[in-house]
Amino acid sequence: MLLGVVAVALGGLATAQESQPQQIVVPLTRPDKPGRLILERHQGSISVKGYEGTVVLIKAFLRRSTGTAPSDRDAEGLKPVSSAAIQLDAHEVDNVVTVDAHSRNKSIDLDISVPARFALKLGVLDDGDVIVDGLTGDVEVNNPYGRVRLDRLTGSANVNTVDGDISVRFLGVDTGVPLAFTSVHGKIDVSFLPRR
Amino acid sequence: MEVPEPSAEMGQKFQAMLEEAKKARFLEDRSPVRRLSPFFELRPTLLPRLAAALSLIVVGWFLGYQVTPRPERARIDFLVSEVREMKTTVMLAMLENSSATERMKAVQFAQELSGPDEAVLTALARTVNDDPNVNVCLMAVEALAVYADHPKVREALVQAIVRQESPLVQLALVEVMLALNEKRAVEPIRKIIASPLVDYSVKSKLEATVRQLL
Repeated sequence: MLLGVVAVALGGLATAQESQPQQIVVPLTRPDKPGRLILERHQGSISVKGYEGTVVLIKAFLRRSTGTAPSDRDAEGLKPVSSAAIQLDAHEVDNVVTVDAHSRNKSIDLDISVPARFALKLGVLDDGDVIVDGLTGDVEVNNPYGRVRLDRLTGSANVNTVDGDISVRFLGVDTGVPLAFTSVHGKIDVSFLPRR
Repeated sequence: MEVPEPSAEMGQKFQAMLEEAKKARFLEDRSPVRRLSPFFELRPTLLPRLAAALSLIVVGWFLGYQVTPRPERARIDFLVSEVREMKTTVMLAMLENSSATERMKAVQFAQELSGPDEAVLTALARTVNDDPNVNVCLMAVEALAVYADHPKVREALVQAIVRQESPLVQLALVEVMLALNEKRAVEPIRKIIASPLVDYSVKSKLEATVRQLL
C-alpha cells in the first residue's frame, strides 16, 4: 500500500511574498505507526519538534539577507527573477517523508512539526543550525559547519559536525544501538536527563 | 573284630598333625586375599596389564569417534557455515540501509564475524570510501584496521586515504598507517596535504605523520 503525497508550493511574486512563509501539511499513510523524515543537502537552519498530531507540518522561511545581498553594480537595473521564491517539496511514501526546500542564493529556515514517534535524517550543507526537540526515534544529523542541538530525545543519535558544537540531551536510549557523535573542532556535550 | 592297640607314638603323631592343621588354618586366616578364583588374584603384573587394556579401549574409542563419518557432525558443520553465510548476507544488506545507525550495526556485526571472508572485507573497504556518514566510515576504518595484516586490506586502507574528504576519517586512516608503519601511505598523505581543501589542524598532524613514517 503505497500512497504518495506530493505538495509543491511555489512562491509567486517576489515582492509580495518575500516575508510570507511557505507552509505545507503532509499526512501519513499510517498515522498510528512511527515515521521518518529525510531532509538532506539543505541550506539553512532546521528545527524539528515532536508534537501530539498525526501530520507533518512544514514551514519554510526565507532567511533575511544577512549583509551579503547580491548588489553587484554590473547588475544594476536588472531585477533578479523570483530570487525570493521558495520551492518547497514534500513527498510521502509509506510513512517516509522526504522534504526538499530550496531557493536561489538564499538560505531557508525550516520549522517542522512531526508526530513524536519519528526518525530523522537531516543533512545541512551550510549556513544553519539543527535543533530537534521532543522526539522518540533514531536521529541522524550531518551538519559540518553549524551547530546541532538535540533536546529531550528518546532513542538513538548519530551526529557529525566539523566546526559546530553538538549538544544532546537524552530522556532515554535504545539498548544495543550504537550512538555516535563526532566533531573536528566543536564541543560535544551528551547528557541524560533524570527521569521524572 | 580286632582293634589294634594304640601305639605309644599315636599320641605324638596326633599332636603333630593337630599342630600342622592349626598352623595351616592360622596362615589361611592371615592371608589378605581369599583364594576365590585365580582371576581375582592380585599378582604384581596384573595392574599394568589392566591399565594397558583400558588405555587401548579409550584410544580405540577416541580414534573411532574421530574417524567415523557421522551425519550429525557434517550437519553441524553445514549449519555453522550456513549461519555464517546468512550473517554475512544480513550484514551486507544492512550496510545498504539508508539509516546510518543500521549501517553502524552492520559494521559491528562484521567485527563479530570471526575471520570474515573477502566479501565482508571488500564491503567494509567500500564503506570506508563511499559511506555518506562520517561515523560509519570511522567505524569501518576501525573494523578493517584489525585485519590490516591481510595484504588486500592494507592496500585498500592505503588507497582510501586520498578519497577521504572528512578530516576525521583522514586522521583515523593516518593513525592506522602510523601504527602499521606503512611507508606506501606517504604519497597519498602528501596529496591530501597539497589539496586546498585540507583542514588546517589536520594538515599539521599529517605533516608530522609523514616525518614519522620516513
